[in-house]
Amino acid sequence: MTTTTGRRLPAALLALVLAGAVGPFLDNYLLYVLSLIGVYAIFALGYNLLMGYAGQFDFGQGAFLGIGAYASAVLQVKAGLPFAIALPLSGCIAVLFGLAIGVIVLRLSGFYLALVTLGFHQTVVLGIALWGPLTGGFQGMTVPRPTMPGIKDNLLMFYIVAVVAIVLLQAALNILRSRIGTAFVAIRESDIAAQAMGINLTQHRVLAYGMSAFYGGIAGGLLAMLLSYITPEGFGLVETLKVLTMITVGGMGSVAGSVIGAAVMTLSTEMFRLPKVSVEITNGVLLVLFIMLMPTGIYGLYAKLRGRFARSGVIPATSVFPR
Amino acid sequence: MLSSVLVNGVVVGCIYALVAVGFTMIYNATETVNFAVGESLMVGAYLLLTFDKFLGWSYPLALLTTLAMAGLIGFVVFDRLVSRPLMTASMLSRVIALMGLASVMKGTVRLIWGADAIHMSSPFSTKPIVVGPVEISQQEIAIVVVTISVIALLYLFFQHTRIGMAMRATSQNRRAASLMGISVTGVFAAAWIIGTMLSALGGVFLGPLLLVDPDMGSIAFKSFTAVVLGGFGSLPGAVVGGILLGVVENLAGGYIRSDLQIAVTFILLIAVLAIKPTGLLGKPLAKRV
Repeated sequence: MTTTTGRRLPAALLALVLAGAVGPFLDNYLLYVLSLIGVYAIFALGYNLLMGYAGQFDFGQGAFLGIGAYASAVLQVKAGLPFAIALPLSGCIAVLFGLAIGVIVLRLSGFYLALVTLGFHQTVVLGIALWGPLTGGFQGMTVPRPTMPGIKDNLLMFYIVAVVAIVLLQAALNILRSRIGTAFVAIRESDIAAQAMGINLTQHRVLAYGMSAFYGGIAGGLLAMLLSYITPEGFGLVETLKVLTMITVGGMGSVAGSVIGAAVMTLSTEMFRLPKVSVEITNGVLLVLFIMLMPTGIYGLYAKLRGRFARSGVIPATSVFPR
Repeated sequence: MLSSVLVNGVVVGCIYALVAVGFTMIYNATETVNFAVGESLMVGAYLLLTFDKFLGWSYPLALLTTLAMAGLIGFVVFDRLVSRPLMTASMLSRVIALMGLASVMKGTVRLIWGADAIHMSSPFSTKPIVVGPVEISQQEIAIVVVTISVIALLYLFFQHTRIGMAMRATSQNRRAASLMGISVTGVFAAAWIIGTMLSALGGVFLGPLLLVDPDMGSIAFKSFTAVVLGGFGSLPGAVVGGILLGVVENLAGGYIRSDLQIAVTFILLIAVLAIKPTGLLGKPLAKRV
């Protein structure tokens, strides 16, 4: 298993170099779309760690995106911190919330877990909206954009997103190939069997929440930077639904699937310039269709065609969806 | 103040209870957690609005047509299109499919009726009638009376009709029921039809109290909490939980801050799960390995 880690590191470096080389030749809109894909890839990856790998129902992932976005914005605007410090801090703040919710839901599973996380999400959005002096309330707030002399804003943002996304992607791959990743999958397959094998259930479940919250928080901070104006409404249930669609379409329990899902969904939304209504309808239809016809997603299909699951060390989330 | 807060709580609680009963019926029969129950409620409100306000039909006719349409949606969309093909799939698959369906319903309503909130009038007067210390409007009386009658009818239905008994048998043991010659798929269809009609009725009642908008389905979270509060899977629990939640929420809203309602519901939910996860009337949870 360790050999694959060694083989993948150059791939990450290659992706970085490629992003660096291609960046200057792209127009602003393309840079924006690519950055958006990067941000949602991080977000979807964090969600997939929790849902696809650790098998924990969570329908409040949008909360972490909102917490990250507002934490980063408030730290920059109100506390005057530079972006380079505000972004990691916003991830850490999201982790605090993630750990808290992880501890609250420790004894829960299935419907109860989904319900508590749904309520948590609504409460967080409400909290952001009501904490007017800090967050600007329902009106929202402007988020400063990082600048660097000699490099245009959109390119700089693209570089920031590319570096963060690739680092976090590589980190996720490494973690998932370690004992922790194996433990997550074991818990997903059967928490009782996992416990019997000596896996500390409490520790790993809280860890899964913390990790997915970190990814969500960082994605939120980056999204706030890209959008440059955020409102509480922008982090409602729609965001959770969006990321749920991404990992379902891309592939539950697969890192590549998270990225594929983020790319496919963001590109289709941007390409057709879909208004909110059609996004709701297409996301919903895609969710239903994929669950029925292709429950392991695009990556699952690809892996099945190539017969690659066994070799890559990635364990498919088929048992999340037994047919 | 206290009496009016309590009355409001019971009235809203009745609506939560209706939706919670529909939700529980569906769960008991099909073991599916209906995450689109709020959207059934929302569609019910829009249907009534269309027949009553936009087409100008008489209220009883509009109400009957709304309920019939809701039943049809429950049968065709929920049962046949989404639930039936996923019968053998895992619970997560069904939940995700239903969340997808909820999103489609919201988008479709936004497409047809627009995103703006619409005012819905009630056929009953909202003028308060003073009974001793209590002020209550005709509209509120109607909600409470209809809810009680519906629940009484459901009780008779479950106790005395063949299909009601078949539904109870199926919820106790699906395989045994099937071996006794009960059409389990028929039971599923009945549960979806009645459950969707009940949530649509909730929407019809909720419409005049709030405004009708495509996001009003988020109220489902309250009904989910009511279900947990009363005891998951218990029909009497759903009623008790719904009314109790309505009262608690209105007390908190009246005496603390009204805009904190969601937070109060959330805290109540966590408290119930921490102290008595089986709720007031629920059976103990056990998991087979």
